[in-house]
Amino acid sequence: MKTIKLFRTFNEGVQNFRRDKWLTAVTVMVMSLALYLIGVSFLSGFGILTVVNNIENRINISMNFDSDIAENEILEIKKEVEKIQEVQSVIYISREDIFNNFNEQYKDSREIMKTLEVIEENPFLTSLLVTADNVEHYENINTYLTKTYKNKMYSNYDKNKGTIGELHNFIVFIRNVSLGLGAIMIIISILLNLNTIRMSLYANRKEFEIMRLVGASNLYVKLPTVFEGFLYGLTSSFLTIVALIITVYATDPFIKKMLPDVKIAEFYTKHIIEICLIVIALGVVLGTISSYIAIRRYLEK
Amino acid sequence: MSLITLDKVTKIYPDEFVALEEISCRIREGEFVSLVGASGAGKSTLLKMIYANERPTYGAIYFGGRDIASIPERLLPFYRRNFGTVFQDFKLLPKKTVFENVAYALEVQGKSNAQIREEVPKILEIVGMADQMDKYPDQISGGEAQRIALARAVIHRPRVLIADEPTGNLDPVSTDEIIRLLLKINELGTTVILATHDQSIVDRLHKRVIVLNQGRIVRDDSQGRYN
Repeated sequence: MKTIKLFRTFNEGVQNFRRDKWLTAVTVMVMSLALYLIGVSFLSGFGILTVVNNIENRINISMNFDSDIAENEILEIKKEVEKIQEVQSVIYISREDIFNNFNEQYKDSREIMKTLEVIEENPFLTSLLVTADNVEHYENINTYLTKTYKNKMYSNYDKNKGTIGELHNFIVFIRNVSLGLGAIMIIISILLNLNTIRMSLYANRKEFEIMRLVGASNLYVKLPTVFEGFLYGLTSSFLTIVALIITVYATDPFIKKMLPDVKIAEFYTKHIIEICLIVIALGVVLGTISSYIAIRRYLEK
Repeated sequence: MSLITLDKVTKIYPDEFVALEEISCRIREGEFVSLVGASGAGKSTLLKMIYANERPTYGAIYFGGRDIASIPERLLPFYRRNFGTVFQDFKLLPKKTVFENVAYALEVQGKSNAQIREEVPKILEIVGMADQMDKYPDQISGGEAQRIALARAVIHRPRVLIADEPTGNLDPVSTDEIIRLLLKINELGTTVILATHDQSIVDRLHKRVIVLNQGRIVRDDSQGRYN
């Protein structure tokens, strides 16, 4: 296609976008809603995953060492445990640290403090807190640790096994549900988008016929519509970005109150450029491809 | 030598309706042919076959000696540029101004902007619409809309002008104006095929008349009348 024709088809796309104000407004509104749904699904997913990850990070195996095991030996064991593939991190906590923390935490409880005084010595044991890379791996890690260091320590895993298992099932369930809902929202948005563009083209179907009668090639009829779809997508993505900014900052105080770990506004501010680029790319790609698919169907008839 | 040749053209629609049956005729370059017949006689179907908007079920149509069935789908727009078309419902693009509607026929062919700026006002002058260039189709009358459609149909100097009931929606004054323009265009060398069921127009023309009835040619007179 000659450059002049390409320029003309682009111009025509802009002209249609500008002149058909009502149709443009409706299409852009519905497309924005579709993009907004995707954006909100993504941000909700981020919130849910943050909460779930935080819960997951609080699960660990505590290896409690006998008081006669020297600190050096425990630190050696720490190094060995860190080498296990499924282990994400190992934290060393000395019995003194545990004792001080306990004292600090329960300094206002007279009964507990009295009990400690009766015991007269530090009743706590030096521990290694082992976090697995995946909740499913705790069982294997625990079996290995108990077998390898059976005379030196005991682990709390068997005691908490039931709770960890339930938590694991819950985490898997929440992840699957949020991923499934996110996927459904995205599919609904894409279908909504496709249908909106198809309806806007339906209003113009007679014009395509006239254009062909006047001698326009299929490509010459298609391109203005594709450019129009591009403009719908671009405008919708700008509206969506504004709507998302308003949503994020308006809901942030409430979310922080309920879920202090979920920092959506901070995440949004930190990644604002990436989010804007993703929304624009999504809008433009959705608008352009939807228009192309829809017009192709009309011209095939 | 004939410009358009129809050789035993038959069109049967999927519901088994036979729109045309074994139509054979030749149209020479520069001729003015009136295609007459009652509604449903097959006039519009025959015209659609000629400008390749529909394909015959059987038979062949030749344009300048070439079987149009041999033209690939993607090249049909180029074939259609041999024609200018005018319809009863004008078929103007509603979102374009009068100027833009006429210019569109040149734009699709890749003509330069300078050429478009020069030629569109000229043709609009000829059809008497030069002073309404910036109006939209819904701001002009039916007669005016048909003059615009005519200007668009001939601006790229097609070899054939196809007019399918062009006066069907017009008052007598506008009808006379359109017929006068069609004759003028024909005088300048363009072949004109006019489909109509308006007896008064056909009787006035004293040109070739092909009469269709239930999809068959029942009469073909070189200087005929409606009846």
